[in-house]
Amino acid sequence: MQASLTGHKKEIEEKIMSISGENFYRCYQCGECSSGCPAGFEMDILPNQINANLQIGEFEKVLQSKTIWICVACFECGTRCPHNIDIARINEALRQIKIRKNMDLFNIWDVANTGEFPTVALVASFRKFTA
Amino acid sequence: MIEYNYFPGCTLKTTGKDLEKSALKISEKLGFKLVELPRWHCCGTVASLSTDNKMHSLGAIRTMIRVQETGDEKVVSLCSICYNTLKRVNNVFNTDPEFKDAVVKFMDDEPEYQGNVESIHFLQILREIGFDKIKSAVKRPLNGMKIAPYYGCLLLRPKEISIDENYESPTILEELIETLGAEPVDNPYKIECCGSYETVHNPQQVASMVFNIIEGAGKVDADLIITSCPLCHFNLDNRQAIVKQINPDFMPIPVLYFTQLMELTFSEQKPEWQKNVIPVDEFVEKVLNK
Repeated sequence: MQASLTGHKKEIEEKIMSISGENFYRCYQCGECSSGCPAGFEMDILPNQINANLQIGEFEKVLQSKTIWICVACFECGTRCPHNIDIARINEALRQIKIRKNMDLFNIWDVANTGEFPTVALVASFRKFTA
Repeated sequence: MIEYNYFPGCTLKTTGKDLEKSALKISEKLGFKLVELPRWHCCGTVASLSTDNKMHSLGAIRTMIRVQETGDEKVVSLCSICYNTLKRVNNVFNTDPEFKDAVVKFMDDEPEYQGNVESIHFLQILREIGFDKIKSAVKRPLNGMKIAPYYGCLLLRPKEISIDENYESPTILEELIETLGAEPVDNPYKIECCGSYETVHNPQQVASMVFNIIEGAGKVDADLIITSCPLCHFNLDNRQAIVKQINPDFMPIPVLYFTQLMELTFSEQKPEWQKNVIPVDEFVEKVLNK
């Protein structure tokens, strides 16, 4: 049974679902995603826990997590999910909710002297950290 | 000679030059030619994961319009990221009428995209021309060498775009390694992410991920790791230096593009490549002195 949310929480719930196109209520916590996640060791909330928190309306906790910035969308989680929930898209929606508040989190000059990078890594950084 | 439309993408003109150079050389030896599109745009790097953002797909669509203008419907990428992005954007274009309508209206300065361009990866051409033909081009078989394939993410996932039917246990690189005379060794980390563009913001995180991949290959005594993606190549090669700093006992393994390995086995002379962080000279000398 879905918890019924009201006001601001309802708005965030709808935003996450509409930007990602995914329904996190379908997750039944099997943990396939987290056991496969190659970056899980760096995350403060594991992918299955992201869904669990969203299901109980802990949106702020998830929006403040390190996890959403660590995910690079390798699609390991979504590939293994028995319910075909694409968690990479949920993470993207959470990042978008943050950066669409006129918040750019990548400044090329911050990394200008930290070494040579493949062009594609810089373009992808702009894509992930700016709206 | 069969000609294919070739889309290089940004990184093959900068840090990934060896991938392009070696691929161009081996294609001629295998009887086909990669013809660079006269005009192309950034693929957009990662296909948009937001349902409401169409802007991020325009680079890919514009490039596919450039392909459409050539009259041929196939476009070959060497970079796994470009292959993936073009393929996924095209899938969205063909399955989401609202997306298609908005994009076509937005780009009314361009000829209308018909949705017929097929993104293919260079490895798929190799499979099409057949491993027997590749075998006949090998001048220096790699007998006795152990090579670990590394696929990374974007050739295989999401599963709809996988170049191998078995997206959790692909075999195309293993088949190629065998064709070149070497023994493919099994690395349980062969389809795990290398850390991708986090290399810009969090090189330590990437080093930890690279450590797992190299250790996996080391445990099965790999002499070399091969990959197809210019970002994987950068991370696997470059970030081993951080691993070595943290763990002095760590044994580095050199990394080459699969096309470089083919170039080496196909040619009489020593190929000229950019310098890797983990030197490949010892491996190359071993092959040349066989």
